[in-house]
Amino acid sequence: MEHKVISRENLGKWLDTITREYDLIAPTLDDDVVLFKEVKSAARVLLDYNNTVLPAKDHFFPQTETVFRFKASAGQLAIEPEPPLARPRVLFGVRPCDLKSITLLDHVFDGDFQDGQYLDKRARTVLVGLGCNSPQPTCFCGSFGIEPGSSPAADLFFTEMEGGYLVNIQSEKGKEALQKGWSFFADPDAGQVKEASERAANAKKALKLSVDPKGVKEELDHFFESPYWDEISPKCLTCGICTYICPTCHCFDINDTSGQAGERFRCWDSCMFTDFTRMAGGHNPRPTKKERVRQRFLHKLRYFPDRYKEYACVGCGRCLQKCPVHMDITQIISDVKGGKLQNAAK
Amino acid sequence: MVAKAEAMPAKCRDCDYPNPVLSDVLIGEEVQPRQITPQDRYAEVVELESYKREAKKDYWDKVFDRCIRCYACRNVCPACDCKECVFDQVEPRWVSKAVNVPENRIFHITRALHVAGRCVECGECERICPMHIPIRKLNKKIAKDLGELFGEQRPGTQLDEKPALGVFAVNDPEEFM
Repeated sequence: MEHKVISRENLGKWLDTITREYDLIAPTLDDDVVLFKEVKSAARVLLDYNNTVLPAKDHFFPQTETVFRFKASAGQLAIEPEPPLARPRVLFGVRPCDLKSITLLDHVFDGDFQDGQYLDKRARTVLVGLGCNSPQPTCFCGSFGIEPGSSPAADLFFTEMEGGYLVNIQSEKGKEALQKGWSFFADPDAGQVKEASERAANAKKALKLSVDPKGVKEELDHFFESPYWDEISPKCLTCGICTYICPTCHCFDINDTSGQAGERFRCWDSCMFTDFTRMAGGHNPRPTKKERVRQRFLHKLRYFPDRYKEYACVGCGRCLQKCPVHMDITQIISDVKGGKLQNAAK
Repeated sequence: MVAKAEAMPAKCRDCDYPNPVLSDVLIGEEVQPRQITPQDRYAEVVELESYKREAKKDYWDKVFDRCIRCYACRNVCPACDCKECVFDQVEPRWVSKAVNVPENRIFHITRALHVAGRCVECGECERICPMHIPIRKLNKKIAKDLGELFGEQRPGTQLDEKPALGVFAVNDPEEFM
């Protein structure tokens, strides 16, 4: 793999340079909330952060997105599709957990159905990863085979080191973005490559939380019905925090605005909401918390692997941090492994 | 080590009801309540009130813009008790599922006004908001206005007290009539 190094100072210069040709999306502060947002200048890019409150998915699969606009007049209906991105984008500072989640979303949006709007954003975005040097207590990416210090899903991968960063060039698309400011980068010496790989190894060791998901899907195949779901669901508030801050949750709704002119839009939806499975006639096959909580965990740990052979969790730990009632997916995985569903069913 | 004051949620730092107002059994000793003056209690609200109309709008639009409408603030609220919330209602759907400033504004203002006079200021809404929306400011503004109109009440602290908006008195202010 080709490597380069860049100083902290030059990183800002490179980011400023690429804004001439790319839209730059990077972690930045909105009051005190760290979010991926478009920034016009490198000065607004936050480099010292654990992770963003919302994952990067919003930039490929926005919370609310126009699909097309319509206008009816004199018996004629004009439909104008949403235009593709005006400029290519660089998405800077994505952690390995979120990078992995984008490849999981690819299964959904780049599968049998080719989702044009997602694919346009995906094809025209350079993914720049940033290794985690100090995982948080809620991080468990390692449990899903993700390394906090590297990611094959990125076009460019940055590892922070003394005074700067080592850059792994992982695709042509990435190299092209790097070359917009090629002079800001230098060739690393052997010591620097070694330092970066040591840092990545240390980050992996620093992961405190782990759980073993092997065999969880197979166990869950037998326990759609289990009193376990009755036991864990009462505390759930059925708000949508977990689904909206989750980098792999991807359920959406489609609506039209009403009137002679308007738009069709799609927006995130949540299996935690009461109206999520409400049928036109009023019937709701998931009427209580039990069915909704079960759905969320079965989707991540059984249905998604059924379809795509991978779990729909990347161990980013956001739901562990933000759930108001501390619903803990690592605990649920442990319970499944520990035979709790089986025992509860007896 | 983290100082206690730093680790405490903001809602606890300005809480003047550290002891349960009603209990059959109280575990532990009663805590001396902090004396919080109305000036301190409403300091943030008074500051916002001093903003010009446009600046107020800009302030709230900026924070409402990042709301993801997860509804955690509503679901955790002890005063929210509608069997079917207007924001979940499908027929008709009053508020679009689209997340944008106008829809978010309607959500927050409706939520705040619907708990007016019943909000016990537990502050859970703000504590759990993943997007750090200053929800307590809205609640406090309404509490302050209610106090000025109907006399200061602290909902949830007096069992025999009727909420200001739940009763009618002939001397209620009726500026609009």
